[in-house]
Amino acid sequence: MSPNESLILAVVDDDDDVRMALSRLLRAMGHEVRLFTSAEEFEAEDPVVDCVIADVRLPGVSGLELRERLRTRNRRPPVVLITGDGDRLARDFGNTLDTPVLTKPFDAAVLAEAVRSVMSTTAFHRERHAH
Amino acid sequence: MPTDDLYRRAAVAGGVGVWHWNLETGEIHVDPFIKEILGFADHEIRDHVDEWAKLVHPDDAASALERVEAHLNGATSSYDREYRMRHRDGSYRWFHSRGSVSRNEQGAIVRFAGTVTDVTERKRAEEALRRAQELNRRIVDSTGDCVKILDLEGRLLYINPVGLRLMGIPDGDELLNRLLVEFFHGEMRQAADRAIASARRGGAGRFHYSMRMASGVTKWFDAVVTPITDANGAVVQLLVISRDITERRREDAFRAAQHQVLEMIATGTALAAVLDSLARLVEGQADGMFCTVLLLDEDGITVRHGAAPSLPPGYVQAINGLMVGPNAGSCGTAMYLGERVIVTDILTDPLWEGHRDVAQKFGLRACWSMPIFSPRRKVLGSFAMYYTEPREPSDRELRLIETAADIARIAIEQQRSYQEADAQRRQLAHLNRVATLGELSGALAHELSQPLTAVLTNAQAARHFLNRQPLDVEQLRDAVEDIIKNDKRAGAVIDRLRALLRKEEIARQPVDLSDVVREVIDLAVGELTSRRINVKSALAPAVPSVLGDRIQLQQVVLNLVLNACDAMNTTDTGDRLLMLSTRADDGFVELAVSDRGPGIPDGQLERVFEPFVTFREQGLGLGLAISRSIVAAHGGSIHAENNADGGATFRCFLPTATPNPSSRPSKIKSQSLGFQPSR
Repeated sequence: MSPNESLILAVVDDDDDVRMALSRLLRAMGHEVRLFTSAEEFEAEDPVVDCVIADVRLPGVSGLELRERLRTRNRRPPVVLITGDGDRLARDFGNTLDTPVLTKPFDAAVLAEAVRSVMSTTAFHRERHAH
Repeated sequence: MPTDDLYRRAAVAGGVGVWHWNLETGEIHVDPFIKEILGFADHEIRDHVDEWAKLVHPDDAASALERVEAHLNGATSSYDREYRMRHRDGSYRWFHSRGSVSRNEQGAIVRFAGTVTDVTERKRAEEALRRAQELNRRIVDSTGDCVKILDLEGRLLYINPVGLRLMGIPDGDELLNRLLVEFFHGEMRQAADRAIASARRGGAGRFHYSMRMASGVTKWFDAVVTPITDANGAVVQLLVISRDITERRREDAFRAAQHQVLEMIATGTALAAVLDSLARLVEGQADGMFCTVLLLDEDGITVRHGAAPSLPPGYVQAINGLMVGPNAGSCGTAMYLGERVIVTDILTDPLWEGHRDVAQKFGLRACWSMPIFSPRRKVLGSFAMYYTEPREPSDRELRLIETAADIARIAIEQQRSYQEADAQRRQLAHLNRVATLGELSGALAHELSQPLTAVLTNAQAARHFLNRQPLDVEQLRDAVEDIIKNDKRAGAVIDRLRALLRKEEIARQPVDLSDVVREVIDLAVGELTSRRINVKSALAPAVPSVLGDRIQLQQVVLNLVLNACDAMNTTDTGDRLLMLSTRADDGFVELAVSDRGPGIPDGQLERVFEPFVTFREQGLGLGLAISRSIVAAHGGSIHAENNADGGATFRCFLPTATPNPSSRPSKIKSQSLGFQPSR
């Protein structure tokens, strides 16, 4: 997966400003971005994406739960979690979480690396649709 | 036999009577005054040897006669004998009879005459002396002290059997004629020399010495040296009486060491070190004794190692973690039963059934154990004495074991109360610093992280746009607008926080601020001790109550105390002084907390109360902000000032509770903290 490869990424975050900023950044990096304000909204649409970037704390179904639900599916996109309270997540899960967790605010390069890393270790490949 | 009257009178005055014995007729003339002495008139005793022989004591008669015959046979140059004669009243008196024969040229006896003297008084005196000497000898032999007699040079002439026994030497001959000081070295020898010299001059001397006995045990003695004088008062010999003071010294040392251990407890020395010292202290009281302290776990059944400074680690490990029970060795059983257990021989006692191998492996044969009780009779552990031979405890050892168990109790209790106070303090500090701030900062972190994420992400997106040709000004403008917008949003979060810190819901009840200060000092004592901070408090005894929330006011005082402690981190340990005072001041109670730190930088006296303002390397800078918000919610005020002589003082004024019939405990309603705790 070359750094220049164009991916389809989903951003799930209830904060309008964060969601907008991430969309702007990821598009500037050359990716296609799908935006969702909640896990429920994401699931309702069930988009075909390469990777999901989800906030941990969401109204309703949390980012962590969304990750669990996606795991039980056959074809599941990998998840990168982002959170405003990394300490708490680290306290609750330690190193047992096999999902990248980025503490807000994070650097664009760190986000790109997390996406690259999680995709290379996950045996999931988006069905290439013609679109 | 006619006697010159003058001569006779002189003789009678000297108690001497003259006699003349006619060997052919058996007639014997004795001065009548001798008859008088025996209670007879002159005519009552016929002047014949047979008459006199009847008066001689039967035990003395034969030997007296033998002497007479020996002299008459020419075997002796004179006759000289002491014997008893019976008085008229049946008692006996002693007489000394002396005489000699005169012979003619042919060697035949012509005359046998001599004197007889009443020596009863002298004999009595001699007997009294003999008895006194016998008594002395028996006293010297039977005393528990070592008695020695030295010549004037200090050579040993005599040592009593007790002395030999004390030293464990069967025969004193090898010691005789040796200089006493040769047994000692160094200072002891000098002290002995001085004492002997003093006695030689007629005074008394005293010195202490230690001596290794034949058994290998070292004993201590207190020796008193006095002169023995002759009839003229001249010093002829020296008497040395040594008393075994080993026990007394041990008891003195024990008392001193006991104080030391209690001091360790009082100054908060770690329990393990205290128990170790205690065990060593008791071990010093007897030779060949080993001590252990075991602690009973909170579960009430598991045995934990406490102290065993002289037992091999292997044994300690084997004991650690065992369970108490009805036959779990001496200690396990003592803790189980809650009573003293004396095992005189581990090899045969059924209590040691399951643990005999371990004890045997390390050569332990006797073990006496005393449970350590809390004041409520809860078993905290045990104190035990071990010996390597089968043995029964002496009364002294039983007393010792009880004393030791008692000291151990104090140490364990003290540590538990320290731990409790420490836990309470931690809890309060946790409440204050971790829980409150932790929850706050969790919420805060989330609130702030959103706009900061938006700012950073937009800025990085903008950088991407800048690298593109042609420049998309529209996109750039949107990104920058969002950066500005989110930066303002972050500022608003902080403003909201400040607003929230000023208001909280409080329960009101009368609170004695001096009490609160005392409680906080009690809670923080561990922290203060570990930071080597001295505390001085001047608390007004009858300070009026203030209305408020006790826990919140504790937090204020604790914040100020911890703030003062932090301020003195760089102060020399000897100068670290925390001063707390309370006083009534015209409708208010003033609380002042002073430190000896570097003080507060110029112009910053007000800023220290702002959230996130700190001059320390650690901490969020919220403690004083929270304190001010609590004090404000109580209708009071708080401010900081620098002391003229260094350091800072925080003064807090809280209004006193005014007697008002409607002032029931009430709640001041205010806006609650708006942040949701993170999850």
